[in-house]
Amino acid sequence: MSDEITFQIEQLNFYYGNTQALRDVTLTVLPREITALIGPSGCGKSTFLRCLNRMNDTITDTRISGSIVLNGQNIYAPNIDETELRRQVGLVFQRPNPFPQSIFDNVAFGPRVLGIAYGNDLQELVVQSLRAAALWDEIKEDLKQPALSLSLGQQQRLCIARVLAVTPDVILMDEPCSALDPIATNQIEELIQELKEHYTIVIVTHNMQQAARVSDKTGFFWLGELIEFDETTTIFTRPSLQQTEDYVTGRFG
Amino acid sequence: MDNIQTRATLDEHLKDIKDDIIRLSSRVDTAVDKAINAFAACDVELAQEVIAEDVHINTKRFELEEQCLHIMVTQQPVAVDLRLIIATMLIVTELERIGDYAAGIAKLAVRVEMVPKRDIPNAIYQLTSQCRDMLRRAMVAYTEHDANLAYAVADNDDSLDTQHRLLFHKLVGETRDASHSTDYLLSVLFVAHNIERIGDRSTNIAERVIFMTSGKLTEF
Repeated sequence: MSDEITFQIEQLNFYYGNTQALRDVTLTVLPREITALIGPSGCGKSTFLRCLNRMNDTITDTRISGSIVLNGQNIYAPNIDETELRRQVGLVFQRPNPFPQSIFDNVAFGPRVLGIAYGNDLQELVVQSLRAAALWDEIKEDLKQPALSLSLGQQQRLCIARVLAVTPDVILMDEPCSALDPIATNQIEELIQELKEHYTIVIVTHNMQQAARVSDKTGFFWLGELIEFDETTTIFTRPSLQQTEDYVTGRFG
Repeated sequence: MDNIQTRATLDEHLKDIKDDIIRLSSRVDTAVDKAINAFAACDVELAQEVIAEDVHINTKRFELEEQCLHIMVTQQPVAVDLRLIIATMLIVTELERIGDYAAGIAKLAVRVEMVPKRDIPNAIYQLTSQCRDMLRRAMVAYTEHDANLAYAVADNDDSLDTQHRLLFHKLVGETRDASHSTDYLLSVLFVAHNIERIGDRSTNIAERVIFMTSGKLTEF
């Protein structure tokens, strides 16, 4: 059974000091599916996302209970290598954050640090990652140009290429289009659909139309609780709970 | 502003289409009533009025569909709002078809003027009363988001069908009697058929109301 599940999250609670940010969240993420997390600001969806690759560990005075099992392994077990976990579970942030280096060096950074590839293999991995991130055709003439000279949309796809270069299983995306214009947003959304063929994706978005367009499953968070989780079509056509309906129809609060 | 209504514009649009579709259903209901009266009284003038009204009903149908398209494009409704828009677009088509049935009865009224006149069977009035009641209650279910009422409307259709079947056999039997005008009886048969179809369309409206309120796609 665990072969068919990427993430099995059970009774997850998370605290920033005395403030409880997540309450008894139980959720299953299936492989090669896109799971969207929606909800108002402060509802816990980004906190939840960052629990999935232990990015919250870097914040002081936080506490977690419950379990997150990735491909059969509890990611909060003492023997877990966090660097390896974050290779397996990559994160794309809200604003593109390329390193102030060349395009090539940005994508090659992870494989070099992790010792995944060198020389011609590294060259090939960088090209493959840029192709998979739908950026190759736009920048193939000059991989040495500074990453920061790219448009914001290109920078975000570069950041996705950087994640792909370390051959992850899961890609987490925390509002990846919120800083982008509509065309760049469409390109990222199309890219997400293509990536689904090989990767499991969990995306946090404030844009409900985006959740409806790109995802297979949608979870609605409110005040740290996962209120409803279902097929995306169900959530946006016939949600089970009034709270979900109020939120997706924009009549929340 | 203390309390901003987050979807005030959408709510206003939805109220407008609800008001408009209720007005349309009222026009359609009146057309059915007039069509039966025109047929019963062989009133050609009244029948022509119903036939002319059908053109207005058709125009209003497209206006309402345009309103629904506008809301979909500009407001991107989801969940209950989306279901309301989809249901409205489907219901407006049912109303337009009921308008066609009324016009069909009115055309028979014009035609039947040419044949010897008889009193129409009481069962025609009963069928008409029942199908108009179904239509009105289906539209109340729509405005009130009342799934129970929609189910009750659908339940009525079986009784309407039974009455129609009885009338059909009675009229077919009468066509064998040489003293009755076959043309006239056939016209009454067509009228009865149109009324029965109005009941079916009203049931379709009830099915759409059930979808709108609960998301369930139901066929009775």
